[in-house]
Amino acid sequence: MRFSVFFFLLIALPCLADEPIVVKLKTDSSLLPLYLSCPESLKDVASILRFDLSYSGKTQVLATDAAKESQIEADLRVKRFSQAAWKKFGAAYVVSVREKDNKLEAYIYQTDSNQLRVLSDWELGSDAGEIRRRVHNLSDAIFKNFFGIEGIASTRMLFTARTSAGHNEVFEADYDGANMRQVTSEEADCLNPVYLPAKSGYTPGSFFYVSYRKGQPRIYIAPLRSGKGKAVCRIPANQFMPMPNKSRSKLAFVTDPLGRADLFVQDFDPEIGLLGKPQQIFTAYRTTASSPSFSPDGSKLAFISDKTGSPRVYMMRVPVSGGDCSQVNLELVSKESTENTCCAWSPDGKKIAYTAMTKGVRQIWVYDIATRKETQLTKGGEHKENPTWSANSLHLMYDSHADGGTCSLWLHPLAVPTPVKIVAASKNARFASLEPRSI
Amino acid sequence: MRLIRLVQLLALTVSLTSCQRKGSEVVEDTRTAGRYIGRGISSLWGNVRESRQFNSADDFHGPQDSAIGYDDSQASSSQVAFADVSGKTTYAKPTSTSDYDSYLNPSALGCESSFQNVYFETNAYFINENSDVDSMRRIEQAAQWLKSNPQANVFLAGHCDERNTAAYNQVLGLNRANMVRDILISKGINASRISTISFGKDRPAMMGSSAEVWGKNRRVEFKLSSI
Repeated sequence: MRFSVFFFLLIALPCLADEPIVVKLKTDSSLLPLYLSCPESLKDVASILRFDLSYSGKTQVLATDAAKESQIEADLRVKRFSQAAWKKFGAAYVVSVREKDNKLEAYIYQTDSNQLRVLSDWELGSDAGEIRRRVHNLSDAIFKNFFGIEGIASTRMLFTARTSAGHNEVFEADYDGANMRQVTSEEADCLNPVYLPAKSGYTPGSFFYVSYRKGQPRIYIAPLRSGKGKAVCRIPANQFMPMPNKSRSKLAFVTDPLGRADLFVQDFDPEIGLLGKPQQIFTAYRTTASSPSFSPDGSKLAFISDKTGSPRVYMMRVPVSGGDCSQVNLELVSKESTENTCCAWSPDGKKIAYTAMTKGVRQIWVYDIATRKETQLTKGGEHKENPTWSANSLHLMYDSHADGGTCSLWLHPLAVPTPVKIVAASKNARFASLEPRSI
Repeated sequence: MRLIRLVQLLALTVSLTSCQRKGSEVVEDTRTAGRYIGRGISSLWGNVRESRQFNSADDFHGPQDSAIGYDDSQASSSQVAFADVSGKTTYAKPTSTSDYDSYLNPSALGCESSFQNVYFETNAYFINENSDVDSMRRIEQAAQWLKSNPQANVFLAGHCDERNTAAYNQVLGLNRANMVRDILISKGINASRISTISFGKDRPAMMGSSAEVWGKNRRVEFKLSSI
């Protein structure tokens, strides 16, 4: 009897102590303070630069004050920045933008290395849209000078939003939500827009999306310029969630020709379209798969499956075209969180983002592949979904809504505790896809 | 006596551990455990349901599978879901791929009593032919009408309530529609007469955020081509 009690307590105690481990992602400690100086005459330029550098993922823009402005003026007079002064101000970086001969001239200074560079002859252009684009380019040039990697200020994004006719069409905008334009004119609901990655040295010119124009949802590919889509996949079934790999050689998607939503992968050529035969790469009894996302090298696929009851994130090796899939090895990613959806592999290959039901609210989680740790990125009472990575893997964008509410788009640098709203809920903006770049 | 006490202690242990966790977590993990237990028992009889690739329709139509593929009688090969390089499909297209919105509500044809919505529990899409009596009755009524009107085609639209993500609901709605499709086919309706579509949570039948509203939105609706 005593042994029985001891035995059951031995089993029970670990279970009683089995609280989920939630590791909060470290936030603002890694942001580097940057001081930005712009004259009043360049107020609009300053506003764009301030946003870009505040949400760059690496820097935190300090508040403007008179002492720092005086120091800037003194430094510009002698064309040399005072390392001692800026160390005292606590600024790791200093950016001073002035107008010269109708062009911008930017002095960018790194305090620690005492390095000063000048980006000059930066033309602004004529209309407001062109000015924004040029200033975003300047932001990225500044960012690259400081950190040696590309920024995202000049990237674009695709998403769906509701039109006045009541349909959800594909829109494109700058990453900060400006310069928004409707791309498709399907006169039907559209979903899952995703850029087709461009070849090296180019920016994307085409995108995939799903449209209900023919009744059943089908995958289309369209040039960004015209938005006129052509059907991609000939399978006569519902088609969802197109996802190309980075090298543009394969397309993963979900379709149900066999009566169940399964994962398919097919070879792809941007000049020709889908090649050969679609390959069903994962299926299981009474199980559905969704949200495929390739690793950057294209060798693995992350996706959502409910094979064990609750939808979870899994990884698998992408089989060789036409190869045997009868012995598929899946690696479970989301061990701590449950009810996962919408997984997205980061462009640097180090992380996978996904949603998880967390205390009754869907939050964005990030899985670190090297450490195998899951961390909760977002908080708050609104449901978040459809995370998409920035090209430099420093940001996530996702849509967020309250119960029964419409969706807004939010940009969340991983190093910043709070996100910033990019597109308002009045648009019911969903399914964001940030432009991929060769980083 | 000892056995009774052991069982009592086990029950006490389970109740103590369960109370530490939220109800939804217990439900989810119970489902997970149930799946594994089910698979374990099935494997004793040799029914191993690991992932496998379907190379042909014969492979897919396994003895334990409940899903039924599209009719590929016009196919030039036995392979399902494979399109050859020339662009010719190797499977028959369902005839009813026209715009869903051009299909008619059953009430427009005076047959709404034969096509009542089929409703589902949260996160569920499977219909148990033995226990889901009301759902089976509704599908049987639809099948009978379709048999009596062989010229009509049907579009099955799967819907979800607002609570999960759009991506999840796209697939769940599809599963619900396909579940009803499979049962219609098993009742003798030709697969080529049936199309499926999922609207996820984008076309709710009722607006609001309550258990009653959610229940009304988790459904499969029928629409018919004109006779």
